[in-house]
Amino acid sequence: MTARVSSLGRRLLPLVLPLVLLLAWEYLGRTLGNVYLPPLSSVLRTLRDDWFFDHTVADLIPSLERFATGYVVGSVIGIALGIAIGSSRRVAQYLEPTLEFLRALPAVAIIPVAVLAFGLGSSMRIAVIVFGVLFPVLVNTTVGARSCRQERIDVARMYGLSRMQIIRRVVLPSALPMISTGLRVALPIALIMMVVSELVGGQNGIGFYLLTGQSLFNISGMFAALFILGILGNLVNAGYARLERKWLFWANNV
Amino acid sequence: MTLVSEKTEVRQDHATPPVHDPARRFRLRLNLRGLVFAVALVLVLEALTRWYIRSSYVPRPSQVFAALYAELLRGDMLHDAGQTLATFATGLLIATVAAVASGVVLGSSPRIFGAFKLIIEFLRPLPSVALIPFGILILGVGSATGVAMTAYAAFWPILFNTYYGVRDADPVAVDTARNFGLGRAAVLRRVLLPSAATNIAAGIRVSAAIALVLAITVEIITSSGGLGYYIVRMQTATRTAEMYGGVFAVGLLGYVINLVVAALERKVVFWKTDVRDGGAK
Repeated sequence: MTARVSSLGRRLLPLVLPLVLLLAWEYLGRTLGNVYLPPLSSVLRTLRDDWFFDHTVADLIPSLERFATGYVVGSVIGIALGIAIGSSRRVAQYLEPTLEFLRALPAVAIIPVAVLAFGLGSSMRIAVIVFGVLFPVLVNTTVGARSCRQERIDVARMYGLSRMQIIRRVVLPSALPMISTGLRVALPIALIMMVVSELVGGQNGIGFYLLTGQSLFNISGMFAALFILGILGNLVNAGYARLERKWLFWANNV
Repeated sequence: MTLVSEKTEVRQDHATPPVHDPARRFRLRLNLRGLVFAVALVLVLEALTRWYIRSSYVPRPSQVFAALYAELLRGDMLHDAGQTLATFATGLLIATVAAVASGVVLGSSPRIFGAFKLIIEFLRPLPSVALIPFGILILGVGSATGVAMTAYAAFWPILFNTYYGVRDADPVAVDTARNFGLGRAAVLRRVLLPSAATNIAAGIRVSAAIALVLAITVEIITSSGGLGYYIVRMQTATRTAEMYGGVFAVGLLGYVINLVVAALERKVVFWKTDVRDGGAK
């Protein structure tokens, strides 16, 4: 009996603190009357009024389009370059310090450069996301491609496979776990770059909605945007983890 | 002869690298070929911008370096870099203290972790930069916002690494220490923290990169000084050579921070075999 109660308690335990906090939020929001802490109910009302579905169409979808475009473009370039660099030991040696430097450069620092080059439109935001995604994917792919054992490449060569065939059949598969690591690391970076690129001004996007909320003192709206972003971040992470488990189950270091 | 040395080098790639020889690692970092490529790249860019792309938006590398040199001599940029570095370091320090403390508490009790699990899992994937507008409203435009945002973003990787390190500490070692009559604090200091140290160090390395991103982002968005604001200022003045100089300086700062953190890591947790883990950022 006690065992059953404690197991039930263990299952309910994670829900207790969030519920207490949400209730405290509602209570404090009502009693304190602090502009910075609107009651939860008013945040939820804003969430319903704004995000079902006016701003979802006007802001969230453009944001997601840029996020997806930037992420895919950055990943494809990163993987292609990474394989090219990583499958030759010599090329890797030549490029390594330069790449390390570019990777250490916080991607947000190129936002002003991108604004100057592309203006304040969608292409600037996509370029910034591409830049943020490119280097983690590139560096991880390079490491993955270099981790391919020389013996395997030698065997493939002995069987008469061409350079392209070796890359496709031997180097790429053994680099996949590392590529996947790079893609996973790049996801939150892409999300961050998406938001930042919209915070520097623009026409639409969830970051732009946040910015408008800030200038109009619409605190409920800002909290609503945080909810949306939190859900988005969770969905993106969980979705990627699921794909990784499904397709890379054979790589035990994932 | 070359064939043999090539082969042994390839072999060493798969074996765990010797860690106790910092000189060798340093030499690896400063490889000559890498330097040759970097110099060649700059020369090619110089040639391209001198003879083919003649646009005021794309300054020549020589102009960028000249601008960087002039700004450094005047001292303004050093002041900006110092401000960025101060925000970065304060935020990272606060994050480290808070995250290690919380990680130890969460890691030593599954019940406490269970209570906080949902909140942590909701907050962690939330893009930290989305909090900057809140920071501006509540803390105003200034270093407080920068430090707070930097600390918040740097908190998570250290928290999770500490949590896993403490949770996965060898229970036999903990029990043995208890048997020898060590109290809770002594077990924490002598067993749990040392066994979590490699994880904590890895977390700090990941967080250092994130902390710099947040410090720069806040400067860009709030125009509150530092290298981030320097770049924005040069952009609005279309002084492109200075702007690229600022970007280069930020990259240099990031690179040096990486090197310093990695060196500290090797020194403090010298028993760890593999210092690099696939370049998580």
